[in-house]
Amino acid sequence: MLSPRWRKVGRDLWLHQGRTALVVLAIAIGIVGAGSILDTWAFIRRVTREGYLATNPPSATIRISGVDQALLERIRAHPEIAAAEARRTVTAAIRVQGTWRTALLFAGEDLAASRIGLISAEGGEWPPRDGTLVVERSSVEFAGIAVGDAVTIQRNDGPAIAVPVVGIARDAGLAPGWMEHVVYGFVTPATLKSLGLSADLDRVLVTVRDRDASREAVRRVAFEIKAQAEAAGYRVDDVEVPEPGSHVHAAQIDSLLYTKGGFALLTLFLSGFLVVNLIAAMLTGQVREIGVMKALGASSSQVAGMYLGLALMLGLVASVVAIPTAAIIGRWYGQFIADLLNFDTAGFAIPRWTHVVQLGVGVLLPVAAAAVPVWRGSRMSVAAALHDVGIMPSAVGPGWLMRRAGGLSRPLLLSLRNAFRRRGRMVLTMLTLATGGAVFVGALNLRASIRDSVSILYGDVLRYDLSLRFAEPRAADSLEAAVASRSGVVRAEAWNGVRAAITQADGTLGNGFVITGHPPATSMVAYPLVAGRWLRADDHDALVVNTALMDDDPGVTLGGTVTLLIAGRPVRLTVVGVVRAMPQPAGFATRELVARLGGEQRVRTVAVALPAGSAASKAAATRHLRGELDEAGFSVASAQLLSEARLATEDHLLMVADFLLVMTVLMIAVGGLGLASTTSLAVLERTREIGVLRAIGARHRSILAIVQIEALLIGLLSWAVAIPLSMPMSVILARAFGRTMIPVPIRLFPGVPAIGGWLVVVVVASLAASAWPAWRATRVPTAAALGYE
Amino acid sequence: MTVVIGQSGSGKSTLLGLIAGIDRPTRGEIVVGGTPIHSLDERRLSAWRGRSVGIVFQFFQLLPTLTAAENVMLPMDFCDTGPAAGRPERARALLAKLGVLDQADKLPGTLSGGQQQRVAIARALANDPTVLLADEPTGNLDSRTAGAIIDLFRSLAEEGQTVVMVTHDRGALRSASRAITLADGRVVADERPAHA
Repeated sequence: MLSPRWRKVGRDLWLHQGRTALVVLAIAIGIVGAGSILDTWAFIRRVTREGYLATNPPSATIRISGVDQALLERIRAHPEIAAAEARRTVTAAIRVQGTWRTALLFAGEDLAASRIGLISAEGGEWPPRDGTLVVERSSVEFAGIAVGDAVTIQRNDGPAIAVPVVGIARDAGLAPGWMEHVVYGFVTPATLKSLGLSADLDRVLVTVRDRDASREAVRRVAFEIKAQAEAAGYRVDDVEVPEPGSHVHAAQIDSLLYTKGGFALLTLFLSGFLVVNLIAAMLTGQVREIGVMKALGASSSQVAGMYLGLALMLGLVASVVAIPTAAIIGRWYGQFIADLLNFDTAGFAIPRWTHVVQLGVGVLLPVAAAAVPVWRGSRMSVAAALHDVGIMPSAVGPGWLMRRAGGLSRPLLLSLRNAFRRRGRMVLTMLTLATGGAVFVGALNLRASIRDSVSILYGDVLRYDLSLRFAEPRAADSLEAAVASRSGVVRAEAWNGVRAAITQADGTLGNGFVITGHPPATSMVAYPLVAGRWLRADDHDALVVNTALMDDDPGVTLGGTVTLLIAGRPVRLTVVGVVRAMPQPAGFATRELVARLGGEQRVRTVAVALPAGSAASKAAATRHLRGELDEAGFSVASAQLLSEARLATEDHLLMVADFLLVMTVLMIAVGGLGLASTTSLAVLERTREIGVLRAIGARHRSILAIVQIEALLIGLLSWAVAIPLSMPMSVILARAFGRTMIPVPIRLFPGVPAIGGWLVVVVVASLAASAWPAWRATRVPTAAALGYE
Repeated sequence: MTVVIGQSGSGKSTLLGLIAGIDRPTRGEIVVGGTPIHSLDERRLSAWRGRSVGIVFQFFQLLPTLTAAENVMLPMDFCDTGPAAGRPERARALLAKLGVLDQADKLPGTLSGGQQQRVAIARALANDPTVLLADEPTGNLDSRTAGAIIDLFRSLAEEGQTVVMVTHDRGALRSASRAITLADGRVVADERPAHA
């Protein structure tokens, strides 16, 4: 049977159901906020790590032309190599339901028997037979492909062949097709032959024996194989060594979730504030009972134990509600992200430890929050506790409020003064709401920054409307002239490109990247310069790199030289400039240099500027242009409008800011609960005063107004405080976003919509939070109010 | 049974507080039942208070969320007196002794003033204290109920319970074996009424 003191604790909780529910809700919101992010993170981490490792990803991919069985045997004989398989990857154009898109086709001798980079069947046939195509599932939705469709594939000027789509498979090692705007497909070497290509395999996937080998160790092994292959007369173009065991997007996802996790922790912290407030108030109401219990022989530690036990119980109840809720949200959001990243979540569960952590925090948070007020309350001497009279008469508000300035009405003045009576509680309440507001304003600011930087990217940086990829390569001048002479074309510029890899000081190769060739005086792109200069007409060996390349390889310095391996030959180039462009490593050089490096004078890509107009008019102009060019014998393999790409980019980036806004709703809810509790405590503590007001003739309306204006005042104060607080928040958000997504300009000062929006939110929240306490105040009967002890 | 009388502000309640170990003397010594309580620290003092002193307040001070019986069991719970299983029985016995057994399972809010004070006295007796201290126990009761409460204290004293009562009620003097009068913090009279 429960001892009387624990029965007292239980019944006190029951007696103040409203307040108990508020504390439980506050803790629960904090745990749901922080717990769902923790669950998502742990879930995604497990799914991506284990899911990725389960595919037995290649330790390295080596591009070797004309791979044959003899070479494979030789590589497999290397003492540090566990397995080696040959593949071929080909880019081609694919037409699905009338739209041409870029396709990346993977071919192997027997893909079903492959043991490296396992591909799993998801539906239909697997592996592909000769003359059929199996599509990777992350490309299915965006390209609108279904099993049973007939699609057309064409490689450059080769024959266009119709192939049936016979199955869908999953390759978790690929960056999702919808993100890359690529249709991934699996074919047999024979199918490649019918596209007019040789069936030779051109890349070797290897795994090393030591599963824990570092990236450097793997690079060394890969380089030994490269040397071996070259000694045997093969041409090696590129060596690619990914971070071992880590999915291509792992770092990005981690930092995204870390940022969100930061805000989830803040929500938890704010709900901790609210719990401090509520438990302190609870103890204020219990001071006399504490005195009585001590007079009956209770020791300070017994009293403290009771109230800490009470806090613990609240935490337990909140955890029981919040942990499953967090798990549902975490699993749902985790599945959403895993699906975007092309991982199968079947059979994976959120790791148990996250629930244990949440239970620990859920139980300890209220105990920690209660510690100080409980310690103070339980240490109070019996005499002081028995003589406690409630509100300290000294706290009446700042001096200016004591003078009746500016013709304020007396009830309004009463509200203003009341707001300042419990200053500690008022400040805590105000700061809780203001912090939520600061993040809210910061998130709206980030949204505006994202829109800014997208319009900078697509308006100022990329100054063309359309990129065309032709089926056959031609001389740059003739292709440019052919496009520019069409009606409705403002300007046209031909580009070329070549793959390169940086040769390290120790002779090993870095990861590959593309060098795009532009005319030096290009009017189509204007990447913002970070250092150095852009290309010049008299450049012979000049390379401009982007910041991502500098980050990836610290050996690259402005003014220094880099040795690149291009088309199997080493080339020394001088880095003359650094620009901010695209998230993946990239380089830029003059079209002449790229042509020389790649040994290909002809080009395939033309950037086109169209007359200003709507998206629809540009789409129509594109269709018209393609028709004209096709008729004139310039077959267009694919055409992409920049406006479409812009929309997709913007949507993706804004999703991040929108999720933040959802988090701020939680924070503002916690702030609103804080205001509701502060207001209802104020009403409770001033029952007698309210009775007096009614006794001297105050009407319902006046009492409602006095309570609601007091809450509104606290709300308006947090509105004002949130604005300067939002500035550091905007900086933090913009920096975090820049690290994980694209760099965005930092907007320090919130715009009018953000400030106005926050004002509306705060006014609505204040009125809603004080509605119930105000209504309660009008229910206080005059007699009972005067009798209240 | 000792009754302490005096006007408001004469120091009656302070004296009681000092004996109960609720107030601390600024100087001098307080020895209650052989224990020098002025030298005890807060922790020892509360343990001593629970075992040796039973306090009855003017406003009863029953804990509103506990039933009458639970209020009586609370001091036993704090001081860990006797086996836990025997406590409900002891509480009921005390309530029966004070004539409120039929109220045992009710909450204080539903009881009359006199009934509440009887429960409070039962609670003060829970740990079989050396001294029963009562601070204006009849101050909040009508005169008929007050008389009954005074009679109750007297019968407890007759059973051998030491009772110290602070009161305005001159009627209590009739029941006292010793009457101390305070004025301005000093003992001005210490009488032993004839009937004792």
